[in-house]
Amino acid sequence: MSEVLLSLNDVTVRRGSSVVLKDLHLQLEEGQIVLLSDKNGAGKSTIIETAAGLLPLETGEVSHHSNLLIDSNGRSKRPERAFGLTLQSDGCIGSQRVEEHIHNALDISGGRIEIDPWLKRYNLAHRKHDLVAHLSGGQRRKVAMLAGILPGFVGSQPRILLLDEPAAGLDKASRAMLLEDLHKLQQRGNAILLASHHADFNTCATHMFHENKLVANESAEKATTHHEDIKTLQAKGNVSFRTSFTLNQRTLSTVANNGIAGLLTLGILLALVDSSAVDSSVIQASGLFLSAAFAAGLVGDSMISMLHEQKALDWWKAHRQGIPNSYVHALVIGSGLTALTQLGFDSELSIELILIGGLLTSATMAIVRAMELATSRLARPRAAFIRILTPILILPFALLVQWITDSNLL
Amino acid sequence: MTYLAVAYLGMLIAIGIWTWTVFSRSNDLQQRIEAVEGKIKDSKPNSIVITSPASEEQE
Amino acid sequence: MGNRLAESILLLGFVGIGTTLMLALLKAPSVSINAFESPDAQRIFYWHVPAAWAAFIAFGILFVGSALWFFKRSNLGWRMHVAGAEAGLATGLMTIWSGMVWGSAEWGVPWDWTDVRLNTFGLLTFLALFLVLGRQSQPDGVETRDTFSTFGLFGFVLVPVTYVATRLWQIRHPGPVVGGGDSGSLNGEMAVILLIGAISFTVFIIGHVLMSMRITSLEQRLESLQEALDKV
Repeated sequence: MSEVLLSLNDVTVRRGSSVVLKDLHLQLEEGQIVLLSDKNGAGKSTIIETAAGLLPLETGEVSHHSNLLIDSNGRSKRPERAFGLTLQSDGCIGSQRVEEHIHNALDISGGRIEIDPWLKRYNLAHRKHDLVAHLSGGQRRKVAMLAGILPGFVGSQPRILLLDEPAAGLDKASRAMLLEDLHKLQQRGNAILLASHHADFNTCATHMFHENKLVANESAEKATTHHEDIKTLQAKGNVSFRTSFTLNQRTLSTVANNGIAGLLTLGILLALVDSSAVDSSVIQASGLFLSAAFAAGLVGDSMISMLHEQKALDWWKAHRQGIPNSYVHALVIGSGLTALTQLGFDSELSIELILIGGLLTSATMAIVRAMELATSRLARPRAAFIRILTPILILPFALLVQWITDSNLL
Repeated sequence: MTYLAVAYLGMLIAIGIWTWTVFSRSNDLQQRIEAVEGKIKDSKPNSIVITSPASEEQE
Repeated sequence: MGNRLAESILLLGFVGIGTTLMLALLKAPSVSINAFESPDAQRIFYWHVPAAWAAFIAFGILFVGSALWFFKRSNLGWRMHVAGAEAGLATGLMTIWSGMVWGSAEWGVPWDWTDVRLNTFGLLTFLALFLVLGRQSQPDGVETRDTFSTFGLFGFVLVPVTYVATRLWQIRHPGPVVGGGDSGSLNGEMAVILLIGAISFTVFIIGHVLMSMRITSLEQRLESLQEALDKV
């Protein structure tokens, strides 16, 4: 008997004011392609997102490879074997290059394969180094689709592939190629959960899931392709950190957002405060020297805005490998701002204070970011006034300044 | 003492306005509900079942 | 019937608050000139303390409501959450405003950033503001309710911290007046006015919460009626 790779047991999921999935039971075994073929609004995307562990469950649990992924008690674990995921809304960060997004998906799954033949196959080879934001809707869809299917070719172990409308916006030729690739993936033992309204996929699906029932597909065509050996190369680690670093270097978003806020604060302080009147031993001095770093942190993490593009945040959350952040850049900017402030006020540079300034920017940013992430489930996360809660940070700032003064750091 | 009286009066006015908004919100909603109910009656009498979001939950 | 009761309670509370103010201004005994920098401003106390008391009741309702929604998916719990947040915002702002008037007279500054209790209370009020404004910005649904009730639960952790903070880290703010030991005790007449204040604010907050819960229930009814009309 084939191994069960994905199982959703008695799953109930609410969205908005209605119950979208009710006591859903679905199991996918090795080598199965299950097509979700209900009409629009019947919860196809909800099933895919639930299988990816993205939605909180009212009842039941979701397991990958017989290990718990998420349950209704709020328990959630990183899957031992990463899965392929194509979200309905692409899930790619616009400032990433095509190759970077696909490599991320591969590295998360624990190995790399040569991506050039795949890009060529889907006519994306000439776009390999382009930013995802510069692609057309159809090309972006192909990138999202490749990031969802290619993990199925990594290593010899079968994986779960969750593909939500992978062929939306694809031309007929590309759909035919995808169909072929799905057969190859099936032969490798992967379990594929596919949501699509294209009739093309009716022939490749081994099962149809319709009105909460899994039915074997009589008209399924047997795969005729030969099993190809695809060489798996070594994966590169630290996907989240690498992405964080690359995106920050490329967009300079932390410098532009946090750095500018800090510099503005510094400029105002220099204009309003007489530097000769600042006594470096008093409490005002340490507060003054750290103000720019604090203001820089209060701006929050610009990575969150990037991650809100095409629901990239959901893609990263689903893989549970860490979400890109700007902490390192914040550390550098905070330290720099603290040093500049000390110089601006003709004070001697204090290495300890510079380091504290860097940590202050990073920590402040981390808290603002956590608040923003806490509202990410909302229908309109950016309209939720979360910044109203930033005054929570003023007291810790005051206590920090007090501590610096008491410990004679200056 | 004058500024204290002003502060007190300000607070009393503020709390009065707040209380007033609570009353007016309640009245406004009731009027809107009556209007919508009237429309429903006019459009399709006896054919609509109202389901409250609370209907599936225990109170 | 229920509506009239809530309206009457709210109005009764409002009248009670007005009476408290009058008594505080005209009847309350003057304090020793030496004890306070600004003796008249001390009369704010009859407003400030009951308002803070009412705010804590409102935040308590917010917490219970948040927990009921979060753990039990209770619709009543969500209505309590909404009502608690609105009432908490109203009474929180009253407490802060009266405290700032007092503070500026007594300390010379309206706010002290280094005082833990002041800041945690301010934060609770900001939390209520966030919950009220944030909820209005979102369509009603399980995501909205889950998110805001999580913040409601988090916020309530601040209430015991706020109380304990006064004893541990007090810098400027006086200790608890009630249950705070001998040093903060009150004389007879002061206690009576304070009691009237506390009762008035309690009645006011109960009326407010009842009205607010009714408004949420009306909003839900309107929403379902409109949905029914969409399908016609």
